[in-house]
Order: sequence, then C-alpha cells, then structure tokens
Amino acid sequence: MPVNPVPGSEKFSYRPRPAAEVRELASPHVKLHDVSTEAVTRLDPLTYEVVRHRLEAVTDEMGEAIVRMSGSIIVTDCNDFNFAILDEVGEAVQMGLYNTELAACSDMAVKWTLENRSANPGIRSGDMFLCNDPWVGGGLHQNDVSLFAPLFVGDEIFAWTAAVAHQVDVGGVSPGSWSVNSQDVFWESLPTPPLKIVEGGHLRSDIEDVWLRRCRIPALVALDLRAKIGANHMAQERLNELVQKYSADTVKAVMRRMIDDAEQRLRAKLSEIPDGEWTAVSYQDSARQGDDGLYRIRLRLQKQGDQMTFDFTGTDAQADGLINCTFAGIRGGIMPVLLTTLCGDLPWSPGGLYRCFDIISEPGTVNDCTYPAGVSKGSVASAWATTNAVTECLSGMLDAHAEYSRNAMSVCVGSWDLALLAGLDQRGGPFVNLVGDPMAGGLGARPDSDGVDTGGLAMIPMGRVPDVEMSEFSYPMLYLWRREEADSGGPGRYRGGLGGSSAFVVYDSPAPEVALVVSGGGKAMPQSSGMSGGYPANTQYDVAVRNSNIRELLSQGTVVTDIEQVQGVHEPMPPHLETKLGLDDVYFLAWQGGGGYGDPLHRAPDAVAADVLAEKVTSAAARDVYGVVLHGDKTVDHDATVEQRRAIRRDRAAEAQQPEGAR
Amino acid sequence: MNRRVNDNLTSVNGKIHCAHCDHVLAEAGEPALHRALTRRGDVAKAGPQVRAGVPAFIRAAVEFRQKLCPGCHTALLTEVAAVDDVATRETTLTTPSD
Repeated sequence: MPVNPVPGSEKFSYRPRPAAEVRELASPHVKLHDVSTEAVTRLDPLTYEVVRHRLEAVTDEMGEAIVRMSGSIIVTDCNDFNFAILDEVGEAVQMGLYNTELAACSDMAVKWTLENRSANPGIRSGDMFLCNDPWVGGGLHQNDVSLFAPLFVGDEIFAWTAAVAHQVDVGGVSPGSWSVNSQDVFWESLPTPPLKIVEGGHLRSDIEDVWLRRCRIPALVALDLRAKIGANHMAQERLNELVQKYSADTVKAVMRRMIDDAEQRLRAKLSEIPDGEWTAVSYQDSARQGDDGLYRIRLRLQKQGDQMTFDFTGTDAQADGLINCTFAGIRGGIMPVLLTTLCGDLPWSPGGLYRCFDIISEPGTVNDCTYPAGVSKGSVASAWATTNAVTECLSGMLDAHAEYSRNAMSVCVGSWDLALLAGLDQRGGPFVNLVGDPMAGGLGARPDSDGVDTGGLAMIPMGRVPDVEMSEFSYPMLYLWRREEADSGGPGRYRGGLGGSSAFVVYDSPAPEVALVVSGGGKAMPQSSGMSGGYPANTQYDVAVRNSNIRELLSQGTVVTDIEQVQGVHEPMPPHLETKLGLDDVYFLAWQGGGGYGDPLHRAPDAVAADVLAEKVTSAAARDVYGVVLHGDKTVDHDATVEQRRAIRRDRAAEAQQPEGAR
Repeated sequence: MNRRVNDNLTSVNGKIHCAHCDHVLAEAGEPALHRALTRRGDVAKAGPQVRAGVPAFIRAAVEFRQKLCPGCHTALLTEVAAVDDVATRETTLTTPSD
C-alpha cells in the first residue's frame, strides 16, 4: 500500500545547509559567536593540542556521566549512545567514540533548530531541546532520542552540546517501538521534532508529561532523560571552564582548526589513493511481518582527486514496512565507516569530514524515504545496510593503496538480530528488554589479518555486550548459553570474525508468557559480504522451541549445549514477527559474523588447523571450504591438503562458465 | 609499473592481471573481472552456516556466485546475490598505473 504524502511534512525533511546559510537564517533572532580567520591562524600548536584533547575528553566524560545516571541496560551495558560538541551554527567539532551512527546526525537537528526555533519559541541560555524525528536528524529512528543544548557565552550562542541514546520504548503499536506490522509511520512511535523540554534551566513538567505519556516504561525513559540532561550539564561546565581559562575566541579558534584539519588531512589521504569507482549492493530480506520482498541499496563510490561521491542512484523504492531510513540514515551509514577506516589518526570532526564527499540519493527510496514511510527499524535496517555497502566500497578503495589497504575491512556483522522481550519481570513490574547479545558481532577480515571474533559492531567503537548475569538480574530470563559459533566467520585467506549465539528461557515471571518481537534481516541471504574472493559470513538464524522439555532437562541436571538437544516444536523465526514466549519455550538466536578476505584456498593450512583446534572452524568446513585435511590429532595432512585443494579447483573449473564477452 | 588493485588483482598499463598467475583478466577499458570465469550454484556453497532458503523467507531467487581466474581458479569475488542482479560489485581504477 503506497503511503500518501502529508502536506506540510516537507518542513521536517531536512538537508543540512552550509554554515553560512544557517548563520544568515538564525542571525535575526539569536546572536551567534564567531571568530576571525586571523585568530585561527594565530593559534599556537601547543594551545591547539591541549584544548583539542580536552574537547575529546569531554565527550568521553559525557559517556561516563550517562552510564552512571541511566537505568537502561542498552545504555549502561551496551553503550548505545553518543555525544557531540558542535559550534554555534551546528558544525560538529568532536564526536564521541560510542555509537557513531547516531552522533553523525546531531548537526542536522541543531541546524534545523537554529533555522526553525530561533524566532519561536526562541533559543536562550539554559534551554535544551529534545528530538526523535529521523527526518529532522539527531537520530536514525524514533528510539534514538537526542537532547541538545546551546552554550551561551554572554548573550551569544557559543556552541552546542548534544547527547543521543537509544530508549528501549517510546510507544507505538509494538513493545519496544519496533512495530513489525508497520505500514507507515502512523503505526509507530510519533516522531517528535525539536521540542524545548528544558527552559531556562528548568525541566518543563507539561512537556515531559507529553513525552513520557507515550512510553510503556515511563520511569526508565524519564531517568534516561535526566541522564542526558546531566551529560549536557557536565559538558557545558567543562566547556565553560575551558572558555574561562583560554577565552572564548581561543576555544572557538581551536574548534575551527579541528574542522579544517580534519578536512585537510582527509583530503591529503584521498589524494594519495588511486581514482576510481567501486560498486556494491546490500540486501534486506522482508520489510515487515508477512512480507517476502527483497530490498536493495545500490552504491557507486566515485573517488576523484581529494573528493568522494556516494551515489545511491538505483536503490529500491521505499518499502511498505518499517525498514526505511531517512537521509539522516544515509549520513549515519557513511560516517562510521569513514571514521574507522580513514580517520583513525585524524580529529573526529564530522564538520570537516562532511566537506570531503557528496551524497546523491533519491527521495522516496529505502534509504532516503519520505514522510510518512515507516522508519522504526531504520537504524538497524536501511542505515545498517547502507553501512554495509559503504564498507564494501570504501574498503575496496583503500585496498588499492599499498599502505592504506591495511585499514580495509570486510563487512562486519551484516544485520542486527533483534529479539525484544516485554512483560512482567520477576519483581512484578513492567519491563522491556532489547536483548543486547548481538553486540558481540563478528568483525570483518582485513587484507592482513583475521576479523576479531565477537568483536562488536562497526558503528560503535566503544560498544559492549551486556553481562549475562546483569541481564538475568534485570529481566525474567535464564540463559542456557551465550557463545561463539563455529563457522560463522566468512571463510577467506583471512577469516571473518565469529558471530555468536544465545539460548534462554523465560524464568520467574509472574505472567504465563512474555511478548517477543523478532526483527532481523540476513536470514534469507548473508549480509556480511567478503572481499577479494572472501566468502560471506553466516546467515542469521533464530528458532523458538515451543512446549519444550527444557525444564525436565534442567531438573535432571542436563547441561544443554545444542538447540537440537531440546525436544519440542522447533519454529524458525522469520525476519519479522510479533509473538509470545511461554514458560516452556526456549529461544535461540544466532547472529552474523564478519565477511572473509581473499580466497580460503590461500589460507595457511596451519592457521586452519589452529581454528579447528579452537573450535572456530569445523573439520568439515576445513576440508570442504579451505581444502585443508587434518590428521586425527588435528595436525595438517599436507599431502592430502595439496590434493584436496587441487580437487576443489577442479570442481570450481568444472562448474564455471566463460563470460559472454570473452568467448 | 604495476599497481595493486586488491589481494588478487594487479593493474599493468590499464590491463588487469591475476596477482597469482599473471593471467589477463581484463584488457584496458574493460571492467576488472571481464574475462573471469563465473561459477553459480545453490547458496549453500557459500559455507556451512549459510542457511538461506530454509524456510524460504523471500520470493526472489538468490544464488551463490563466484568469479574465478581462468588461469589458477583463484576466487576473485564470492557473493550471494539475487539472480536478477547482473552487476553487483565492480571495481574500476581510473588513475593510470604508471
């Protein structure tokens, strides 16, 4: 069913404007601090480095602050949040090391606010704005709730601080706000454009009531709101101290130079890399419950001199479901890869980095959707798939450079394996738990090394997997295991990092069942692609074993280590489903590893043997995919391995066809 | 002068060669894997943990696809892609190699 455009919604479909335009639009209503080019030029290197590192430390400290105040495991244990310090017109000066996908769009929300809120209701000292509208920016789906605040020096806006974190429930049809039956945004949590929720230093109770009224767990979301207020306060105190010590002009000059430095140094790197074009397609299976469609994001990366163009022309039309993302999702999909592959030794100043590339996208497509398309899964659907395509193209580009190729990486955990539980916890209170175990995704292999096993997510350098004991303490769950899964890393000369699996039962809930929301792509085809002949990682695989004998097995003292040990009705979970999990059910989820690099037939046989010994690769995969035959003691049978690799090459040749144009 | 394209490919005066056996995979002006062999098959060929199709969650037909060097049968590109998608992953260097 096509969505009908909503007149007036174009006001919120934001494309960030250049700084000068934002300044011109906001200036009649607010005073904006500025600094001369001469002041930036005059800045001495020592002061620059001291203040720059202090700004970086402030974003780290914001992370400490939010973790100490939040009560949500997705924040306290998974680090699914991030921060940014922005200049007076919303150019991002410094981004934290947490979820880089989220903070990549803080600039959009701040610029939109300057353009649309300066006159009415006005922007004053002590104000803070809340936003979870993915079309405006600040986050990629409604659960990404940002809170950003102007920092005044005198009567001028000197800078902005921004905090954004995933909230486990912000309303909508389904628990956790993952509306798997969504056909448009009206099935989902209401997107909220920038709203002055803190005014003159006071949290407005009327606005807070409106905000929390939509949530299933308002107390927890209220606590997270205060955590973000606290993180902003802390950052502003630190920035005020810097201004008092070094002067506003000096700190601003540092900000300007950080942005310029990031741009110049990225451009210098790009200039060294051969020009060319790299293309990729990333797939998503199913847009909502009951849908069996396949959705493509197509990318052509063009690199010419010191400028890149990410061209998504040809991407599929926006879907009748929840997988779409807005333009913020494209930016959030690009920036994490850019930061980790090209900017490890540069200031993480997105304001400068964004100058080095253009984005071509078509409004009305899955990664640039128009209102009111469904977007409640945008962050881990089309934005994530955008990250996959960008990873392939940027890594392909880096692979062409002798030195920078070491920073290339195959796709990391190609999709998020969502299992969300909701109901009554062991204390009789309501709970919503986004199971965070897939935070231990496999990282992609590189041209000189294996991917990191259960190493995390590409977009959250500081991400963590929640502690099992903490999950069991907080929610009515009993884990049977959480572990790495053999063969889940994409085979290659360098193997992709392993993904993992978990199995758990509902335990000690006063209710007879809990709600289960399943939402994860990568089940019909693998989404962690390999590079240079490397194989993709595993497909995602989730199973509910209904009416199982698990309690009988546990009462007998049986340690269950394989889901096949559990008797009952094994029900493979489709990509999207809202269902229940009963007290006798077992839930198993296996998420993806990272893609491989190079031909697995080129992998050192001893490395394969070591993997088999460590149970990272099975003997069958060693023989059939890597062509390595092992003795009974798991050492390499070299003669048999040579013959097996010859045989695999013969089989490949027998199955291959000549290309049409070369016959 | 040779230029690296990736682990498997080298560009020499615009021609793309296999880095392992020197077989010419593309003449100047052709896509990088233009003369590579193509192997197709069931997605299970992508590895023991690739379960695509059981059960069938999507309508579209998908396949395992591999580009191979005609000289040494090294895998140059391995993917699972929709059967209908002919062009998925391509590399074109435009900077001269010498």
